[in-house]
Amino acid sequence: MSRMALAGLRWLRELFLLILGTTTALFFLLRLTGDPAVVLGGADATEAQIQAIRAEYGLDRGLAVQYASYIVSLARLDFGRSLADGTPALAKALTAFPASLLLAGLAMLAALICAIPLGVWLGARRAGVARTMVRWLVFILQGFPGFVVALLLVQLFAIELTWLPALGYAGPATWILPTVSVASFLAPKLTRMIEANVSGALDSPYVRTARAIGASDREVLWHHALPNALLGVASLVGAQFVFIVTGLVIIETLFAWPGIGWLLVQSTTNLDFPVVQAITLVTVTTVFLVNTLIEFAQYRLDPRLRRHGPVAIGSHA
Amino acid sequence: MSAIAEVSPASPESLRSSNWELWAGGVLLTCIVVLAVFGPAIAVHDARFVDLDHRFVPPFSPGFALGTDQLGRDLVARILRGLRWSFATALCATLLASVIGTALGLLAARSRSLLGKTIRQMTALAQSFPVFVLAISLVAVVGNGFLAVASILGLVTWPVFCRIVQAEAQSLFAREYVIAAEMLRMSALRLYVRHILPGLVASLSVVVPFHFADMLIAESALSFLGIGAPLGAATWGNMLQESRSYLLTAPWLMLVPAAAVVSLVISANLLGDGLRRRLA
Amino acid sequence: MTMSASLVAVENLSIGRSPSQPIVHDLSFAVRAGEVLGIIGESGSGKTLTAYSIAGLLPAGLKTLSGRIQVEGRVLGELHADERRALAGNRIGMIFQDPLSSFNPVRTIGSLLIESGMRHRGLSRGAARHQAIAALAAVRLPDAATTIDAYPHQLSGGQRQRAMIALARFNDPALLIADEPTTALDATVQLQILALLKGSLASSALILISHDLRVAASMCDRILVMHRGRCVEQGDAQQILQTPQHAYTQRLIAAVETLTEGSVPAREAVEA
Repeated sequence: MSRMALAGLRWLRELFLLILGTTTALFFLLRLTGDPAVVLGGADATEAQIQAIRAEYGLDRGLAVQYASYIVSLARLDFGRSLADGTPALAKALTAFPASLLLAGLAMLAALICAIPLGVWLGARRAGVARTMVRWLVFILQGFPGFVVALLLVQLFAIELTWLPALGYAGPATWILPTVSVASFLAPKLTRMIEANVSGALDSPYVRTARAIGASDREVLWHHALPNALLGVASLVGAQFVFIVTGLVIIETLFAWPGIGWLLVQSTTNLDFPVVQAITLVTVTTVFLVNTLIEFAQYRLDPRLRRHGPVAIGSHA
Repeated sequence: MSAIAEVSPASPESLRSSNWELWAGGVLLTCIVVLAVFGPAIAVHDARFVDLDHRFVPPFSPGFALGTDQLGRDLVARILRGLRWSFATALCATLLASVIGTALGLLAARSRSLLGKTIRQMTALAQSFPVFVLAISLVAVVGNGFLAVASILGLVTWPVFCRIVQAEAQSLFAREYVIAAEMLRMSALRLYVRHILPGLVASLSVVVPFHFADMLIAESALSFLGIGAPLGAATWGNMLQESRSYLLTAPWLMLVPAAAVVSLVISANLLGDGLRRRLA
Repeated sequence: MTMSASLVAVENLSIGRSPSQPIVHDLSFAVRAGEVLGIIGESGSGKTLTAYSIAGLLPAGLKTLSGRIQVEGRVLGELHADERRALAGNRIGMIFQDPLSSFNPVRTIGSLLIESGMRHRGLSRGAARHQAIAALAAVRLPDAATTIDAYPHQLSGGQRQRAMIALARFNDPALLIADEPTTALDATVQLQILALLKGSLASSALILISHDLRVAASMCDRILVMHRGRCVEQGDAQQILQTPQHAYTQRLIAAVETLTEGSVPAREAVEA
């Protein structure tokens, strides 16, 4: 079997394990942390009502039986119906997905546009007042949780200056504050990581070799250090993508952005389990797919990871 | 040259070799702990005391150092109560995660059985897992309360510690003095206590403050979303959420808890960075 | 030996962070064209720093405190930064100890050679590539036309070091400096690399830095022994090895003899 096919199978297996693990965990956690029927019935449900709910949702069957039927329906992509409005849970989740994708994409782009030049500049400049001040700013910004940034931005730009709207999902004007807020989850850490990569590259032995063949500081930075340092950006992005998801949940709620995070919070407070399950699964699968894409990009970009591997060219040293 | 640089929120290093981050972070956190422990005793007013005659008093007013909110409740008192809540939940969550993570990490490093493999696989997958999403679902189901939030946050973030302990323990187990100790049939308990755990202390100490900061942010985000903290409780997240209706008229209602959150997170980051410079 | 006849002349060189903390003290030596000078010492003796100061590669924070270095009659301290850079890889070629970390992992071997040729000799890319293939073949790298596009991790340690030598020699420099060129290699490969170095001399000079007296014995015309940043003894290689004057040199030789259970091998052991 070819290597590609083997890798593909391994990837499928990981995806399968991830989905199975998540859904199983959710299933048992949701049931073992309390009686769903009681929760669904509400605070003042009578015993008869609770029994009725149990019968309706099949909660009176044995746990193993429930799990089996749960898995079977998942295999058919049947997540049940939303307890709030009866629409199919998976469809509800997927409808909210594009808005989140837009915000996540914009935020990632914004974070990279800020972090890469800043990180390179900080890493290349070894000293100086400006550099120290900027590093301080980055450090302090990293102490601001994303939703605090969002609130401050809203306060300044929407309330005080009224330049930008504070809520909603209409035109590009409504995109700005949410994007900046989510980007602030990522940008400081990304900047520090890129800075570390760049200054690490500049301190490396191969830069010494470059100087030994007469490269100037500029040539060293652009032709020797940066190709190396920025190679790691792909994996940095991957490692940080999870934080975007976290940011989405909070920021979407803050700005009433109709994405999957906002839906999650709503469904959670409404105890709309089918939708919660659907959203969790969609999220987890998306993160996995994004990470796969990033690994693939790394594979293409980094010569050390490509197919050939360490091969002795010729038969003698 | 490694393509990935693991960087914690490090503060700008100075050319001086003195580790001022450690000093500053330590002092700040100590002050904060003192405030947390003795807080409500210091506050002049009670945090729950609704005083409709003194609504929306701005900060630096006589009698109300940080002002009052929409129900006339003193902000100093509310901030101090919120400090207790945030600090305690974050601390317990971190302790729980570190204990579970260390135990599982040791197992993962050592065990060749299915259990070890499972743990290793889970830790690897957990890196790309949006745990916050899981935490939200769980807290909503379990219900509000300190115990729920602290334990759930701790339970979903153990992979952070597990990953570090696993890597560190693997290298420790391969060290000659450990192999020698095992060949001498040293009891497992003694082995762990005398050789393995001390080796882990350094890397664990560096991660703990940063994880604490993450738990702080997570907890305040949860209560900001109305999840986890009892309704009306004086938590910073709640206060931030409530402040949104009054951003135009009473901006300090947002700024005061925001400053509190940021200060605590930065103090933890400073301490973590100081420890990292000291121990790494 | 007059100063004007030597390719490299180092006079009273001191290197360090500040005048109060010199790492290299008052070092003086000269190297003539076609000559091999071995700088021998333990780690920390300052030999690598001496080499770096000649090549203009001193790390940040370290500088020449006093003394001067002359290469081909030009005093390095009086040169502009651009002029110094024009010497690096052109009149002075450097070979580093660890060929794995000294090559940029994301650049092909050939790209460095081509860069050097285009920069110092104004070659076109095509001409530089042509010459690079020839240079790789000259160091006995098999299949040079393929190797030129190889990445460092695709070559073995010995092959990488050959490539490093090709890079250092590419623009026919007057001075080659080899910093522990064989330390990171297997024993069998070491001999081949040393032979390659020796055979590539022609009219250029070679400064060979090593902690290994046997390497020095087999390669060098003259030897300079360094200890804690100072020159302890220098002179004709065979003379020093047979009749060391200084106590430290005697200890070094004695240590090697204990390991090899015999006298240090003579020069003829390494053939090109």
